[in-house]
Amino acid sequence: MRGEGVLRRQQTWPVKIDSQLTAVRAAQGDSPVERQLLAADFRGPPAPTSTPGVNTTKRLALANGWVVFHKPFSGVHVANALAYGQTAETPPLHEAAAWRLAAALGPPWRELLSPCVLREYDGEDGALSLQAQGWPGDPAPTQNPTWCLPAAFLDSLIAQQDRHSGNWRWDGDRLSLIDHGYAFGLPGDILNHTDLVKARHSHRAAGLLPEERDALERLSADADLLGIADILLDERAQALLERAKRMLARGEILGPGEF
Amino acid sequence: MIRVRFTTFDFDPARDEWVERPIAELLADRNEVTISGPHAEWIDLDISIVDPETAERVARDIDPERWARLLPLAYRSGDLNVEVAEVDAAERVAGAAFHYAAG
Repeated sequence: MRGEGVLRRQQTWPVKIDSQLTAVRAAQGDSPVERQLLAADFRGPPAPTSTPGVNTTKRLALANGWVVFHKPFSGVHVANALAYGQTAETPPLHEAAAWRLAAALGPPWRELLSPCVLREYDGEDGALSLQAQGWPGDPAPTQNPTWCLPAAFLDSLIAQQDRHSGNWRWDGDRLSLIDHGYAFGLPGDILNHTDLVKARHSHRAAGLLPEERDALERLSADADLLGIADILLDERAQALLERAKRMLARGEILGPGEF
Repeated sequence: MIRVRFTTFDFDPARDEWVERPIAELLADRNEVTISGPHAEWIDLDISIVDPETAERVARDIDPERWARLLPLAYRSGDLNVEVAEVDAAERVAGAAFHYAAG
């Protein structure tokens, strides 16, 4: 059953990928930080990596002094992506899609994610993300409503499949969410971690805040889902819309794994 | 025994080069996991990891060595290098470390 679903997605995927990439490229570059990510020269070679085969993400320096990460489409760990119900192309694409959605929703969600664009490096197309400040492994954000509430809302909306403390950074004051390769999951897809969604529920704070309700209404009222519908596969865009409607109908964020 | 080394790199603009910085070293030996290093607390030992071969979630306390081998899959963003090696027990370095027993 599950294998049939993966096969179906692989068969439909190539039909839309070009238009999805075109949609991202048409949308990106509307902010100073995105323009820098798109235009700044790379400075020197990437940092050495000792983790070959796991998305082969490269750490790079830009001429403006920023450190960035390039996740190429050619470097996706395909078996791992398929295990999550994703495809060989979705991890870099979903990095960009998550940022585009957060940027379209505006604050506070825009401030939670590292800006990301699609850009070539060394002849390979991929997602280029700005380095997030802080360190991994700190559970502090799960106890801090300023950060936990909006982060859990966003993870619930985008069906994040793997949010643990290794996939966020905390600098003592500020939370940054990283790694959205395994997001925009579909009903029945695997959930590994969703620690911020669980934390919000455990604090009995699942109810939608006014700004969250407003964001969901804006998203669901727009036929193009604030520009995201053209970036995602049709079934993933539909699932996003249905999650937004379910959240509005219930008046709270969804439960863990409710994609 | 499985050894997992976590490192990161900082860019030194004055020297125009990357400088490696150790984060932590984890050893998984049958039923025990030991972690040490300057930022050992950055590594969350309670993270489950999806095994791409089986789509199972693998937890440290169920199978420490299998879990340790999968750790690179838990850190995909590129800012932590995660290097896995099979080593002899004799290579184990004495020093301050936290110990965790499985099950």
